[in-house]
Order: sequence, then structure tokens, then C-alpha cells
Amino acid sequence: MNAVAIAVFGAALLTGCAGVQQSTRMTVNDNQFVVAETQAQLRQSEFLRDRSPLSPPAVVTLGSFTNLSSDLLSDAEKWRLLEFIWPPRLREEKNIIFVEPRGSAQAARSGSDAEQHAMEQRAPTHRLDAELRSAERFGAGERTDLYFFQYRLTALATGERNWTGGVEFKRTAAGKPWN
Amino acid sequence: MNTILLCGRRNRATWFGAALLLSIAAGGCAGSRDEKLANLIDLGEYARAGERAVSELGAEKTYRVRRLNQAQQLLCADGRPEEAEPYAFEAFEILRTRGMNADQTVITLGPDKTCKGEPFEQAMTYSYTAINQLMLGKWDQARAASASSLFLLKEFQDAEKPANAPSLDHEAIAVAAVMKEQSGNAAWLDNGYQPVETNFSLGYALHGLASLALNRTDEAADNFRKASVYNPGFTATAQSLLAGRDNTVFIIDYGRGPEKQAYGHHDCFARFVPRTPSADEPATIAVNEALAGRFPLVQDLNALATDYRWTSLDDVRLARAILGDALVAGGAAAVGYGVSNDNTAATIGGGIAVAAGALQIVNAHADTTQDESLPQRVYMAPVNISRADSRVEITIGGQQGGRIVLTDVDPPGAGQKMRVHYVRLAPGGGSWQSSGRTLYANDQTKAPVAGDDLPYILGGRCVRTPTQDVLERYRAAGWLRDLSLEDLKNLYREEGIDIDSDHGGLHVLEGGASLVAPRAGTAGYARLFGQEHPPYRPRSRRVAALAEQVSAVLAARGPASERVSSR
Repeated sequence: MNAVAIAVFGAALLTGCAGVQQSTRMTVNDNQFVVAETQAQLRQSEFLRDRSPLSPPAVVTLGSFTNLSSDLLSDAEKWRLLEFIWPPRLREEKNIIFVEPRGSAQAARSGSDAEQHAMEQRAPTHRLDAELRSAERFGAGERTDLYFFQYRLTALATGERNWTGGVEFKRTAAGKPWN
Repeated sequence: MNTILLCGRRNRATWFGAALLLSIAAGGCAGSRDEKLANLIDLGEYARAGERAVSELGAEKTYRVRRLNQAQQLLCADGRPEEAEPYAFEAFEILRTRGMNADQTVITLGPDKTCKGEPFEQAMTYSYTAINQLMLGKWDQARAASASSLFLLKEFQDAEKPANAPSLDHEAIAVAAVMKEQSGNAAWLDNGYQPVETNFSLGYALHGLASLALNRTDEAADNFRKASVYNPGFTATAQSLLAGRDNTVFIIDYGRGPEKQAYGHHDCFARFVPRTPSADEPATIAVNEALAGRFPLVQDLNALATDYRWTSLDDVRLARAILGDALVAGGAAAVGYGVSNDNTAATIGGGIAVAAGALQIVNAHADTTQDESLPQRVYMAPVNISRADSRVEITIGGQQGGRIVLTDVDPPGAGQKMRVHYVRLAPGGGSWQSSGRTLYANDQTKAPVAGDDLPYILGGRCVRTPTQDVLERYRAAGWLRDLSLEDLKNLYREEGIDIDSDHGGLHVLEGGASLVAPRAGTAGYARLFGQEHPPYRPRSRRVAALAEQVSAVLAARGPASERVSSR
């Protein structure tokens, strides 16, 4: 079992913009920060660090991204936050391959027998899920949202949690909400 | 424009300044109501109304969120939530941006302004974003959107006020603001309120529904409890939802939302006047002829719009600027303050006294801009749908337009906890609203329809997307045996009908170029497939020639009711 590694970046405003922010919604920069930080944690993780091309194959499917925050995320953003955290060349260097989630794989098929057979061969060994939460605070003329991303890699055969990662940051915006 | 003649020696400088302020700031913004859109909504023409809202977006500089809300709402009402989603996201983005107007106005149009709408309109916009996401089964996103609708309200009235004290209205607040200013607190309108918990029961109900779908039962119960506190009639609905017996929820809009009008001293103030009266009528739901339940309303927009906490104070700010001390002096009769003894003082309400050298002030009519797409009330009705192609009948009161019959309603798919349908009843909707029939075969249902053995473009009643399976159905009935699937698709392409994307848009049955079927269980589906449409008029020679051949054969074969494709 890998130890939990959480990166906490408390008070940082992550955009390069100077001046007062008017929204606490997440930006592209925030998403890129999360991807970069999580990828760094993965590289250092026990799950990934000690694997080699000769390790038993790990077949990873991307599970669900549950948004329990105050912000909306598009489907594309969710997928990016699940998919892009993986370092490159995993198949060659770590014997890890990725397969489509069952739902989207089935939707992409026309249902022929050959393709159903291929579906059954997916046989993932691990599933990656993620969750985003936020806590809101309201002060005099401003709002602060603290966002927390948590990732979980689970071995499907045993239910064992092979890796957990997390990234946290906050955003503050000034001004009244109605105008 | 009206002109006020005011005088008063000691206040002349103040009023002259106010006149300058008005002539710059007012800009003649009397507000504009989109009657064409409102009429289309009345008739239930949600596809055309949605098109209009989208087409007006480009020209909309100041009040963009109104058009975005109209687009998201109307496309959902038309059964096209996928197309509504981008507008929902953009509306959410605007509403979540703070401090957009330095003068803290909310609804006033003008250069360099961003109008976000009345607070109750903002809450409803968040709610329609939540409804859009619920229709798409994105429970977590719906939770976020509905939570945003539960913002705090501004309470100016003293919590320890006497029990029989009248509710504040905008005139009273304006008088109070001037008096506060006279006593040295010029920022009272901005800071003199208490933030209080919202009483937006629809927001709590939607949040609870999303939480329930996410299996966050405690959170759902908390939100349903809040909804019931502010709307006791919702209690039974909440209990039914928490019991988990129902797999389908109908969110139903009914009636015409209140109209914003100017009133009061020289039309300085704005208020909302009901168009559809408030009433306690439940929504009665029958599924496959069996009564499923009677459900009280979850939100009355008339009540929101007449509560000062739910409306902007832009008119109050303007009235304070225009009339200043005169508000206090002249409005005395209404609020019990004394009138100045100065015999050149202005009075308001009782008439205008004019003295020599009186100033002229341009009257700024209160801005009556509003989102004209909102309903009068909203219902939430959880039911159980156990079989495919179910028939659901919704009845509210006995008024015209108070009944709709939805066909081909399916239970949730495998692995889906529930399905949410948004239904908008049209006050002036035609007979399609209650026909209860499906007259055209479409991609939403496999149920046979008389005449579905031929495509609509060739004289039949099938508007399904051309696939091999669909072509086989035509062939089994003796049609198009010498056409390949690609030949069939090319017929549509020659007619300019989009079969290669799921973009949507106006349906071919209503003169558009789309075959994308609205979702069953919506008014859009009922309007499109529940009424007769004119025969298709081919544009290309090839399709016209084929249609002529088919017509000749049909004339020899017999009436359409005898032709149903085999399965």
C-alpha cells in the first residue's frame, strides 16, 4: 500500500495575473497545475516508481470523476484531469496500458460479435477515480473557494488502494455577488 | 419623457447635480420586452423561441445572461439538453463573476454595464443550469449549479420589527436611504443590510434531488428539509423522494411569469405584477392511465418577485439620486414624515409645486428590462415508470394549456438511478399538447407508427436517422430495394438535411434541417411528433422524382393507416 502523498498549496493564487480576481471558478492554469502536481506524485509513488518493462502488465481504466465542488467542469475538463496525469511512455517503461472505460467503449462499438469479443478482452486490472471538493468562505465583499482534488488507483481484483494522490489550492474573488 | 419641475432653494444645487447625473446615466433606458419571444413561448414553440434567443446573443452587449438563460431553458423545454449545455455553462460563468458594475447596479442597462438580472432571475438561471445537468444525468454538476442558487439575501428590515409592521417596498427603502444619508450614512444601501438565509425552495429541492442521485442521502435530506421549511407543501414530495420508490422526476413549469412595470413617483420605481395568478393547484400526474400522485408547487415566482429581497434596488438608487430630499419631504403622506414648511418646497404624490426659476429634471423611467421567459410556478413530481413507451399525463388546474400528454416515456436505463424530465406547459399551446399520439417514427422510440415504412422526405412518416437497420425496414415493406445505405444518406444530403452530425437545430418536420429527435417526455417531443405536419416539399430533382414515383404507388396501394413496417 502506497503512502498517501498530498501536496498542499495553501494560499497561492495560481494565475500569473496581478490585480483583483472577480471569480473563484477554476481556470485552465489551475487545471494544468493539478495535472503537473499529480503527475509528479505519481512518478514518485510506490506503484509506479519500482515498475519496469518486465513487471506484470497493469491495465488501467479511467473510472469516474465526481465533482462535489461549487464549480462546473465540462466533460473535456474531467477527462483531461483523469487522463493527463499519467507520465509518458508508460507502456514501454512500466508495462502499463490504458483501456477505454466500459461505457464509452460500448457506445463506440456497433455491437458486432467480433467487437463484443474485443470488449471482453479489455480486462482492466486497475481503475483510476477522482473527486473534486471545495469549501467556500464569504467575507466582507469577497469570496474564497478552497479546492481539493483527490485521486485513487484501485486494484480491481482485491479492492486494494494502490495509490492515492491529492492537490489543494484556493482562489479568492472580490466584489458583490449580485452585480 | 416626462419632466418634473422641482424647486426648493436650499436643495437647488443638489437637484441640479442630480439632473446632470440623470441626463448622463439614464440614457432613456426604458427597458425592452421581447414580445415575439414571449408569444412563441406562450404557444409552446420552444424550438423557434430557442432559435430566437440564440440569434439575439450576438447583438446582446449588456444583458447577455438573459439570452443565455432563455436559450438553455427553451432548448431543454424542447427536449434538447445537449444543445443547451454550452449556454448553461456560459450563463453560470457570468453569474459567478463578482463586482462587474462599479456602481453596484444589477439590472440597469447602459454602456460598460453587465446586467445579471434580478436576484430571483439569477436564482432561476442557476436552477435551469441545474435542470439541464439533471436531464443529462450529470448529478454532480447539477448539485454545483443548484447550490449556487442558494445565495444569501439582503434583509433591510429590522429583525425586531413589530409584528404588524408592513413589508418594505422600494419606495420605503428609498425614503429610508435618503434619511440615512441625511444622518451621515450615505452607504446604507450598500452596507445597511443583514445577510440572511435564502428561502428559495426550488434551489433546495434541486440540490436535494442531485444529492439523492449521488447517494448522498443525508445531504439530500437536509436540503429537502430546508425546502419544506420555506414551502411546507413540499414535505410529502420530499418524503416520497427519500423513500426511494420513484425512478423518474418531472420538473414542470407552468404559467406566465410576472411582468415588470414602472410605478410610483414619475415611474421612478419598478415592481413585478402577476400575469398568471398564484394558486394552490397541484400537478396531477397519471402514468399509463393510473394516478401516480398530486404534487404541490415547489416555487411561486409571483411571491419571489414581490419580495424586495429578491429584486434589485437599482430603481431605489436612481430615485434617491433624482429626488433626494424631495422623497422624504414629498413622500410624507405615504410614510408619515412631515412636509417642509418652505412654501417653495416640492411635494410629491400630492402634486408638484412650481416656483420661479424651477429646475427641470429629466425623469428616468425605471428600467423594466426583465427575463420574459420565466414561468409563474414550478412543480417537482417524482413517479415510477416501469415500462418502455409509457404514457404520462400532467394536469394543472382547469385552464387552457394546463394539460399535456407525454408519450414514449421510458424508465431509466441500466445503471441509471433516476431520470429527470423538464416539461414546460404552454398557456396557448395547441392540441398537440394533449393529443397523446406519436404520428412520426423517430430515433427516440421503436414503437411502430402508421406510415413509418417510408422516409418523410419521400411521403412517409419516418424521420429516423438513416441506418442499415432503418433501410431494412423500408425494404421489408417493398420500398427502396435498389438503394444502398449510402444512396439513402445522399438523398438527405441533397436536401440539405444534416445526418452526419448530432448538432440539432430546427427539425425537418418544422421546416428545418435536423433529424435529431427531442427527448421523449418533453413538450418538444409532444409538439413535434404529436401533431400533423405539412407534407415534405423536396428541393432536389432526384428526391422530387422519387417522391413522385412513391406517390403513384401509394395511391394504388391504399391509406397510410394500413402501412406499418414490420419489426
